[in-house]
Amino acid sequence: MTTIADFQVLYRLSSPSARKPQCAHEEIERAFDGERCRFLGSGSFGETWRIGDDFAAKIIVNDLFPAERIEREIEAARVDHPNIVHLEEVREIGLAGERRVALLFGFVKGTDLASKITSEGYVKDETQLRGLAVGVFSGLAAMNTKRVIHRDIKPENIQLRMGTVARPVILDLGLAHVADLSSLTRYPSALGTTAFMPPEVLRGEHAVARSDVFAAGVTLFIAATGKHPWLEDGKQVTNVEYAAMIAGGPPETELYDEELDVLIRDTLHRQAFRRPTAARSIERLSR
Amino acid sequence: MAAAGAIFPDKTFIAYARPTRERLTLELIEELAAAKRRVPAFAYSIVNATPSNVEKKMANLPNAVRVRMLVPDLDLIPEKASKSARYSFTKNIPSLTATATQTASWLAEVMEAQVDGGATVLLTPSLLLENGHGEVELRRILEWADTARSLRKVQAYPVVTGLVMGRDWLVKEEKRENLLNVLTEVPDPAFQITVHWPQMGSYSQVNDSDALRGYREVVEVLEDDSREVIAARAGLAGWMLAACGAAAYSAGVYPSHIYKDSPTIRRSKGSHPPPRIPHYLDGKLLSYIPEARLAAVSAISGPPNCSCPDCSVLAGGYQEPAAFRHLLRLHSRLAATLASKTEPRVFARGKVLAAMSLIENNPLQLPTFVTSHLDVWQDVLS
Repeated sequence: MTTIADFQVLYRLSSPSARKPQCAHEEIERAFDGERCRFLGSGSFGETWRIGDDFAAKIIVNDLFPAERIEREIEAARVDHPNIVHLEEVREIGLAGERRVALLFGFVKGTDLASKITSEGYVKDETQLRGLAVGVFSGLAAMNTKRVIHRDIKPENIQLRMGTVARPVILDLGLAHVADLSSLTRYPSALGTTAFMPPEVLRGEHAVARSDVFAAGVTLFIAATGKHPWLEDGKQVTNVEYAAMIAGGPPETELYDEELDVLIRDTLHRQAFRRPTAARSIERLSR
Repeated sequence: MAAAGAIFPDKTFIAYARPTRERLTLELIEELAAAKRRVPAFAYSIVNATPSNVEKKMANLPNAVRVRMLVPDLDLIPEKASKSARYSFTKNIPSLTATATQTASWLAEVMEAQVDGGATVLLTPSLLLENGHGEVELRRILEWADTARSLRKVQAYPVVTGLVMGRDWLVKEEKRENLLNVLTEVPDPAFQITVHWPQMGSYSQVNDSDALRGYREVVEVLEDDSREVIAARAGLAGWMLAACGAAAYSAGVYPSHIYKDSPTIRRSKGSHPPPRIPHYLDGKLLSYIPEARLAAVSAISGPPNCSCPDCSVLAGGYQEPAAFRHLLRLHSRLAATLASKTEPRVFARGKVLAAMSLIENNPLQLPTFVTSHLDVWQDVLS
């Protein structure tokens, strides 16, 4: 079994980047035919801007950002589902004399789950929480049917339509990957956010669909309790320590909704094959 | 509970035969099916058989045999170099020469030969997942299965993905976890798992407790994931695995049909094969019993412990065809009984415990190797 070097795992619940944009506001508006634009955040790829009322543009301004990741995101975003952000168009735009790729997604009005929990605390309404679980698993199940693995499910990447917890939309397919058979048994370096990684990814194996289920489980646990199942906010541990914590099983969520409680715990199983699939998770919540 | 669209809606016993010795098995199946006895499935190894021979054999099977499989066998790995010279498999189904670099046309040939031969359920070829490694081979096997399902001639048939593996894949937790992570990720609806068991005595049942425990986890997880498993060529241990969640198991009438590590094909020059000791499979003791002990066992629990007509024959004196017919009937009945139980594992353990008790409380003087598996099985089933 391939192992990867030790690395640090840090959990900190945060809303998407509030850094200042590098692109000039006027340049963006000009690139989008004078539409009203507003900076939303930035990432390793570049910047995200809201374009008019209906779109969010992910503009690739980092020249070193791997082209294949853009291609993967485009491929993954073709999964058409109400719980997955919809890719409307891929456009080439001119910015400060350079040609840049912009991915235009449907803008989901509302807030992200991380911001919601940060500002309002954990989700106390268990009906809403159940709706969140059904929505996230529905999105993942739709991806699974196309063999797409998201690889970066976390509260920051769950947008809540109109701020409603029960209406989640999965964002940021930048690390998404279309699984093929060769990827199942080949071991690459770990991608994603470490605090949401399951043991198989922590030890250097490829993410599988049930790795997304694990990350969804961590996300739901945070939504249900305000806490990460194993990590203290802001405290670093090594990947080996983190894997040992996971092996000990998750703590109680103390939810009244016993079915949801058991499901969340099952999604956090240390062994991928023991976790329910996203489709099975929905079935369990629909019974 | 059988999944919708299942290939094996009940716990299914698959009678297994090899071309070198198939005549008797085929005759038995025909006879049993004609008598409306339950032999719903038949698997035939197609190594060393000509395509026309295979087709004829399958066509002659009675209609009662609903599931018909032709096995692209890998018996000869890992000693393929010496054995390939001995067997004329290349004229038939060349899966013995399978390597990780086989072509798509080879795969089509292997799959279409099964269709042409009259199979109703198709089996993809496998490479041996060896103990020390095998990840590359696993990937290739699953790629073959993926490609096989898309072949035009194959699409109308249920396809079972064949896996042949060393015991490490069941015993070592990391390998087993890796195997299960992969198998629960791919869309394959059914797997035939054939394990290279360690060498054991001819009339022993599989008693490798670590491997059986790992096997149990594999079948349980896959059943829970709505996948069907055929526990292939594990003798009566297949029945135990069916009790744990396997949808079907295959076994032949000869103890050599258990798939063992490095089977000896060539004997040294001038030597003779050891004389075969007549045995029969006892349904209450769940063991092969030597003919010499038949009377002693019968005195305690009645003739070979079942009510089939062949047992009356055996009561009057050992006859190999009767012993073999009885064996097939017994397997079929054991499988059918499992299918009728709501908790087949609990039922199977009860049967194993009853066998142990019978042996413990009666002076049967059985060789220990024929019953040593029982203690392991009751533990695996617990």
